[in-house]
Amino acid sequence: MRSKIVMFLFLAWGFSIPALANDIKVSGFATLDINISNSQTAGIRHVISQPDASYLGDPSLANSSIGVQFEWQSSSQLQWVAQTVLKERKKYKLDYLIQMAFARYTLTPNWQLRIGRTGLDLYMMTEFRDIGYAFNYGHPPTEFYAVVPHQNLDGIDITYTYPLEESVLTYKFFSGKSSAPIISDDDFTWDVELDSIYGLSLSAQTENWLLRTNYTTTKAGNTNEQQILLLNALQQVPQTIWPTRQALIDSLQIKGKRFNYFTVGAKYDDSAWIMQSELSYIDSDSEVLNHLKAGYISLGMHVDDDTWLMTLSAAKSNNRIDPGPLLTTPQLATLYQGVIRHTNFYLIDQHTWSISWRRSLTSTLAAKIQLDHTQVKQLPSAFYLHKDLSSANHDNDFQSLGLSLNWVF
Amino acid sequence: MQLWTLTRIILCFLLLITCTAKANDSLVVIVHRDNPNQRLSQYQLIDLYMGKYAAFPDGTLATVLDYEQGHPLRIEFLTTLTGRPMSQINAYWSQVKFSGKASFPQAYQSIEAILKEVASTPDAIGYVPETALTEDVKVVYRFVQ
Repeated sequence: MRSKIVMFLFLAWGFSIPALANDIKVSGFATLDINISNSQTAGIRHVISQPDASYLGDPSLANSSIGVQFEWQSSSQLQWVAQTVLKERKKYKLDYLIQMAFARYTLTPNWQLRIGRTGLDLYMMTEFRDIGYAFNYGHPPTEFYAVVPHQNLDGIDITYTYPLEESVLTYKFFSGKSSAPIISDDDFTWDVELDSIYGLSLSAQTENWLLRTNYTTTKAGNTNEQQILLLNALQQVPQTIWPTRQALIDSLQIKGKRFNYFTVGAKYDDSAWIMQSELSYIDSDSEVLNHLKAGYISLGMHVDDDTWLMTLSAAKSNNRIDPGPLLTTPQLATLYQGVIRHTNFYLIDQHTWSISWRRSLTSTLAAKIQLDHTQVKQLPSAFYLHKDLSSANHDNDFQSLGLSLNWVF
Repeated sequence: MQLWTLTRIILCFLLLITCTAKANDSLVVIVHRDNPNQRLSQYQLIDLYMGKYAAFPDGTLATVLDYEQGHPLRIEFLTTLTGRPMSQINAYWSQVKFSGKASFPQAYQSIEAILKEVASTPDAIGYVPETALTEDVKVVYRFVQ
């Protein structure tokens, strides 16, 4: 129902464009990105919804995207915004093509209300991570941004903006639902529904500084089919054979579980020096995604048309690894492997050093190169797609290089 | 033939004078002459033109007017106001606009169009070269040369 309303808003937008052609502002963005890697087993990607990854000798264009935005100011206080983004996906649904479709109502200069599909204001760059021109990195730090596939929110947000002498304070409350796919090995696809999202975001912005914090809580709206099959199989196993069976069943029953996201971030950019850092903590009622701590810090500088950044990013979860059944049979071993694959999906422990270079070719076109050196303590990992997983020689130390052209128009 | 050469010299001279005048012609920020706000600070202008807070100091919602992208006055105004190159300004605006937080100000092609709109809209704010000022508008900010 929710996606039908968004689609209706979007189509209504599309059909009204010819009539309002003179009043509608059209703008857009495009990123052409190629990523190469020397990893043979861990396929590099930058978000867990990407269906393609780069391996040694197998580059990926999955980080490329193109988008168009339409804006119509119907009165001094009411504005309509729609944005569509085309990028590589496992499935192409109209619902996924619509990144935003909302009405913005400015009640007073301080109070603003948005209704419809808006960006999800979770981390500092979540709302514009597809727009390569908007940030200095080749891609947002994987350890921090890859784990959340959701980018938009179907619901409402209310923003209160308060200007001080040399800064602006912003308080934002948002509520709604969101849906986004998680893609993993062996064609695993799960459209993860997040229901009952409630978030509060606070930020302070001066000429050179941005400080922000966000707390968001949500409930999982569905459990995927493979997890349901595992649940059914686990329920057939006696508790005496698998003592942790009940705890596993509780963890795998994702629907209704609460997920909490907390983040703080700071950014400094005085047009010569840059510092940017964020820390996050994700917690939930399920062992599947629990106690995930992530962060990054970047230092860099602008030199004429060039921007250089050095970044260290890291992520670590402390999921408990289930000890498994007390008996060993082929059926129990297969079931255990299936259970581990799901409960350890977010078992993450890695860090990456990155160096990135951005050259402004024109005021609307930028070229970027980023070299990442990653050390992984845990594979398989949700961040990657994998090849030859059975191989004992997993890549735990690899480099990847991203080259991109980024344009806004 | 001599007349044509003389005409070309005069034209070149006039062009030189015009260009020199334009180069020394500082920009001023203007509002409707009945607007109760007398002065705006640089930070308040940055808030208005960078999509952070679209209101005058007295709390009235402002209609922010600008020139079309690529217009020389827009480049001069924004780079002088923020102290940043256009590539950084455009990158910042890409964050603001494509995350749906704010929209570009209403864009106009000419100084005359900005003057006309500010003169007829009580809550409008724009900027023009100082030499283009008319009595229908009021200056609320001057760039120090």
